[in-house]
Amino acid sequence: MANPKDKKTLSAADGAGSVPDDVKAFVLGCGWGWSRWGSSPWSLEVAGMFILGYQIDVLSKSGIKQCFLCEDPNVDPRSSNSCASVLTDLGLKVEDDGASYLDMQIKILRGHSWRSEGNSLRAINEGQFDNPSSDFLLVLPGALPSLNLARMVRQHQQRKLKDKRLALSMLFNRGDPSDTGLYIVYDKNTGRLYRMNHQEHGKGLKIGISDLFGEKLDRGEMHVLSRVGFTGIGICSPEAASYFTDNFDRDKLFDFTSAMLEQPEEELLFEHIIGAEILDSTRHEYAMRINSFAAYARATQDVLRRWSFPLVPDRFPFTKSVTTVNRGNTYRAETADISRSSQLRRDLIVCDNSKLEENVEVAQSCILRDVTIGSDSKIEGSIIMSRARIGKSAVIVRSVVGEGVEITDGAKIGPGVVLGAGTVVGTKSRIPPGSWYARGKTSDDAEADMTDTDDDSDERSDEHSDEEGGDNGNPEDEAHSDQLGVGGRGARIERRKRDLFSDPMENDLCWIEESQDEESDEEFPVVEVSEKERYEEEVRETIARALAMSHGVLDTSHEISSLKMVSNRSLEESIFAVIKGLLSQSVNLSESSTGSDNLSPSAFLQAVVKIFSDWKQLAVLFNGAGIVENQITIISAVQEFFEANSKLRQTFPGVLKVCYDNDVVDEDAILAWRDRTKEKDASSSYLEVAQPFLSWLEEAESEDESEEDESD
Amino acid sequence: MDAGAEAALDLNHKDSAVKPQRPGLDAVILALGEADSGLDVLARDIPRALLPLGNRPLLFYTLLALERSGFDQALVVTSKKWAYGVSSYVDELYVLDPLVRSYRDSVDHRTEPTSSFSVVTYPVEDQVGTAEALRQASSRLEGDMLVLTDDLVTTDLQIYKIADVHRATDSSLTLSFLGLPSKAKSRDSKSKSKGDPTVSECVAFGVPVDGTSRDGLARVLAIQPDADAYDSFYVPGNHLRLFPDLRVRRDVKDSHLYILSHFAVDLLVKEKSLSSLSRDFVPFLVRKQHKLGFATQGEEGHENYRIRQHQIRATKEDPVVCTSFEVGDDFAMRIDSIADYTAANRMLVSGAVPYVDDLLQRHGFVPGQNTKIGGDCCIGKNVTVGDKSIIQKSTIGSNTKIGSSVKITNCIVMDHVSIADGCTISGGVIGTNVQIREKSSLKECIVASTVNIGSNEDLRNEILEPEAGVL
Repeated sequence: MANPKDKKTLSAADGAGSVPDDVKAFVLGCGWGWSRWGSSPWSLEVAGMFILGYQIDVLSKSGIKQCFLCEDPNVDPRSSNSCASVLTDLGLKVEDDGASYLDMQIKILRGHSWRSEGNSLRAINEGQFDNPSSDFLLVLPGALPSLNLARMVRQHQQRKLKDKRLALSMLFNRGDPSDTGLYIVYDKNTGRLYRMNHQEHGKGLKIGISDLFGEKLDRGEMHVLSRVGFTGIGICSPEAASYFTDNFDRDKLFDFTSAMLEQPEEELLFEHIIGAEILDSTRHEYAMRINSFAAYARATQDVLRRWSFPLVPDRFPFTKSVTTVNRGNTYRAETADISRSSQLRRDLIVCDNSKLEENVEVAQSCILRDVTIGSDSKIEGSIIMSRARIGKSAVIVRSVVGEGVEITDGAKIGPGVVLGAGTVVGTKSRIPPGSWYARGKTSDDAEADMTDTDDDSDERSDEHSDEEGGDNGNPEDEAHSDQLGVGGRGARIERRKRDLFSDPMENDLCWIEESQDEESDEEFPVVEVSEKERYEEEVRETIARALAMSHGVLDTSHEISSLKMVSNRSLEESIFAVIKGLLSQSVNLSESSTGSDNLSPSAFLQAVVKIFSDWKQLAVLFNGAGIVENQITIISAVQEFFEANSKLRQTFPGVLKVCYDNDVVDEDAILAWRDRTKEKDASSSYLEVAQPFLSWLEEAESEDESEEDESD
Repeated sequence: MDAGAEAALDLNHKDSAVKPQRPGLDAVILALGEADSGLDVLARDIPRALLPLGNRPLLFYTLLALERSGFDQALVVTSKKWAYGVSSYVDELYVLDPLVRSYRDSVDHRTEPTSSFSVVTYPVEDQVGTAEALRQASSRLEGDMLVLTDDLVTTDLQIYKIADVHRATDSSLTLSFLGLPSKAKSRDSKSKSKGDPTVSECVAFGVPVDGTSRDGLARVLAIQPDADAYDSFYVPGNHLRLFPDLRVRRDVKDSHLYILSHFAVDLLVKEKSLSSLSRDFVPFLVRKQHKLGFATQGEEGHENYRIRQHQIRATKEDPVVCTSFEVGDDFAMRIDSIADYTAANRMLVSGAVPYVDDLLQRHGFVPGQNTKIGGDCCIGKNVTVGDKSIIQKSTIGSNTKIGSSVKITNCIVMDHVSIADGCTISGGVIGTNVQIREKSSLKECIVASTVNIGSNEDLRNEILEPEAGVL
């Protein structure tokens, strides 16, 4: 009897076990090359939390007791990009380059000469710090995990028992988030990785049979998984690390692995085997590596869509601020100041202290801290980093806007644009798709970081030479500034098309523009501009139908409510739609009585009176529980209707009166509207037309109720 | 074959729980005899289809499997050279086979309208490839086509299951694969090297993204029938997109049983340059499956292609589909080498083959004194065995004379063989009309028919053919 129970508990432990105590974790922070964009691999924020936050949380919750953060020695420990300051920002107390989170000890290692993955591994192996004698968990820069690593570590250890040659296990995810065309060949039973390479985008795969099954063509089954991605997480043995000490021609773990696998059997330099482990999303395992802007955008979306559960914005550890999640995965921080008229569509986050002014439309975007977005701007599929300031009526599509970037009114940016930290975009400028701008170095280490990654492709050095010009805010800067508009600051970095035959991983910053554009059509469906109109049209039709079929007011209001839910519109828009719908019905009604050619204002007014007396309930239901603000919206809607039907403008006060009589709006709202309109545009024709009514209203307010009959 | 008859059939089938529904396919057996066979040493003067397996020709198993699967007719395509032999077997001997008769007797004619299983022989020119033979024969057939070659030995393969898969997936071509008997390998590890069926294929399967491949169902994305000669194959990009999870397998064997939709048959007729079905046409169709649909749709004479509505996939991008069906526990083997042949025989005598257990019955068997015949032997008619002979795990053909003190183990001895006194034969195959003189010892030898072996020979691992001279 006891046995099956035991088994059950075992299998339960299988899913949620923890890593053995002696497994240490090394998180690398160098060789990433993002400093020019103003962030280090620690400080990059994904959906409002630092990457380091994800890493530490996952490591600690997987049961790691000791974690070493290997920091680039060129980073000033006091700068905001440094490991220590990020840890402090996360709310951990940093003392003597050490900290602790839950029951995990964190130690910051700072060495000389480790600016790349290979160098870091060398240093780890040479025992400059804590020399690992057993296998250790390796987290490469940019890795964004949200999973329990225990399963993987155990799997690795079990496999190592079977085959001592296992030197490295790499963790892969499915779906190729960074879209590099990576494919792997591995044996599912033994977990051994046989090939790892990139295939040309969209092209087929040529499979060599003897490559997979050996010269003798052994029998067996191989799994070829295309569209996978390396998550940047691996379990590494000291042997693998020592390889780097002996061979200086490889500087990246990925390159190293890929090359080792290609090695012909007879000239084997590295007589170990490499294992692969595939993430199982059914077990809440999520991880990806951010090594390109495309991957960054993708990761942000994944987190917002809660793929990375439990690491989602409303449940982030560390943070003290409260973020709430609403329908459609819209997250907003408590301290965010979001104008009521702004439209938040789906999959987006607005972080602390950001301000969205009126009529801002945001969809599938991440707006980090202290960002200001001016009214009537449109942000779609983009990442706006902290302290950016965006002017009015700007349009930003599928772009990354760096820290502290200033975008003035009316700029059009995207798709595929990257604006480095501190770039300034001038007024009314259009940034062509796919261009990258940077504003020199933001800190001293940026320069060093970029120059010292020497083994990178010439693409990098090309970029670099361009950057030389832009660095010091000199003529080059101005030379390109025409693109950035008047007053723009920042240098354009020549962007090349990806060389299809080059290894895209070579360049950490590659932006795969062809695939990105394809992908993003699926990922970020372009929100049609006419959606609002379509919604209004539908509401109008609903009302027309209700009138024709004499439906109940309540039913109709339910119908409109569900329409609103389905098309995800704001209350304000609904008010607009309902009022306009009612008024246009009045037009129809009066047209049917008098004929469409000679539409007389009086007939129209009569129709309005008739319809509003029957249907005032509907308007009342939508006047937002009598809040003055909403009633003003009603008046604005009326105003907008007359904008379209200028012939009838003289009936404006009449309609206003009808609304007043039917308790759709009350006098407070009307007077507030008057005051507001006066502020904006004192000579507004509506104000003029409505003046008699307004003055009457003022009098009526002070005088007796009985006056009402007279003025009628 | 007309619709009315089929409807009537369906009505009658309502009450029948005994037999699966008739597959509604035309069955074609390609029994050309010699083309690309590893058995050519043995199949010199008889067609491969008539090679004995447990004293019955290979064709018997194929025909019986079809009959049991509910086909009511089959077309046997053979070359002119062998037409007489094949047709005389099919027309005369097959129907007299006791197993066939007992099966037919067991069919309840009140519920089973298919009273007879008729087999028609269709001769084609000698030396034509399988694809060409099928091309010539296809004029006689109308619907989807079940094609199998004579080297597939099966007794209980439920062909209707494959037909169901074919229809359910709306495939253009359904291939079936034999999983390799891993159990047998572990059981007799001694004879591992010999007993293993030979595999030359390498197949790439596309598995649905969720990883569930029910009943071995998968999409065939690439097939390389001869992996020894050609080292690579290519999987096109759009298939990779549809099937990011690819399995490349070397542990399955193409059974050479295909179901071709009419579309595929039309294509076969059109592509005259492809001569072998399994080596040329099937890889061609598999390789081109992502393009062929468009090519034929866009063509001028598109009306000639009777692409039926249901044959085109719901997704426009994917009109031609090659599906695989992995044969599960059913007994099926493809014999394309002598090793396979002996392995199949061994399985047969050991009783591992279902349904044909009557093989072990002995008619007209004349044993001598103190002869020891193992229980796992299959002895034909009119066999005479001398005194003190021992026969184990072997198949002995009809009219064979075995002298005294003869030891035969793990052998296939065909008809009309005479083995003189004191011979020791272990392993190997002895062809028809072979004479072996006294006290010879043969180990793992393949002896072609009508070879005479002298006395006191000691032969190991040799292939003896008439041309090599009389030893």
